[in-house]
Amino acid sequence: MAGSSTDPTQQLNDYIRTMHDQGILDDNFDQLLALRREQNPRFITELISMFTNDAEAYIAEITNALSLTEVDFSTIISKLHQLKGSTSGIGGHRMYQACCELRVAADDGDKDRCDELFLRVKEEFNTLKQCFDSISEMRRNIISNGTRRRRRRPL
Amino acid sequence: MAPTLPSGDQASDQDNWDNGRLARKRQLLTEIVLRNRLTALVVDGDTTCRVLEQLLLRSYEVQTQGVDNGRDAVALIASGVKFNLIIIDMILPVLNGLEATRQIRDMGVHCKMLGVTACSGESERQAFLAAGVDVFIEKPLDPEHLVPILRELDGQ
Repeated sequence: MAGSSTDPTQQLNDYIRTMHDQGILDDNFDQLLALRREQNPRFITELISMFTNDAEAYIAEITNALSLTEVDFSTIISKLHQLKGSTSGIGGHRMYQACCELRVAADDGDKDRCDELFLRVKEEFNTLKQCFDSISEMRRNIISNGTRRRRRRPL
Repeated sequence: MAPTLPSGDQASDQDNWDNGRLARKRQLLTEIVLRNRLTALVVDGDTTCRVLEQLLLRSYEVQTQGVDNGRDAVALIASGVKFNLIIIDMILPVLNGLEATRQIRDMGVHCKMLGVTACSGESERQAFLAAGVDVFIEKPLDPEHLVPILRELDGQ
């Protein structure tokens, strides 16, 4: 990674690059950024919020399905399908991979393996949330700097 | 029914997300100009996916409508609304994507149907194609897959 920069935009670029390097984000997140330019600057923030809220709901439903005396694998597979889809769309690479592994365990009806892999899904979700929180914070800094200086040329 | 999409604001001149991958993605987003006004129906039970797919289509000026379950998709088509393109997920609430696709085809609808789903197995692919989708795409829907299809629909 390049030496530290005090330029907020460069810091953000460097951070996203690092998230790519660590496998937390992938090219699908880049596609969102490209779409952002076609839409509005709040689009990313709104989409991340939408994803996070829905993901938390899916995780809650999977938690409940796993906790039943007779595990509801059908619900797990259904909610996991939606979680996988939205995670791939938002570019959450490691979380997506964790979902794929959990899907295999759910298809096999292996509760112990599901418990273990679901823990990883939740861990990766927390990591992804922290990543998005950092990105949002850096974006706010960029916007506040730009409000003061009005110097940015749009790409 | 699907919630509304995020509202629009003026583009900020603060943003600078420059990297090579981003430039290539943007190039794909501006690669085509459609001569005709195309319409698309997006059927996906997940809000994020549905919003993303609609936004991607709208970036090419495709007029889109979204529903979040298979039953509403079938009802909309049965009401006489016509689309150039239907994008449908396999696992859907109320009425699943396979059955919804069959029912839409049974109505005599011949428009292009894309099965865009998080399922990646060959058996799922074959099942979706057998149900009536023309193309099977693993999520997420991206310009690399979408642009050639839009060109075909636009007669380019």
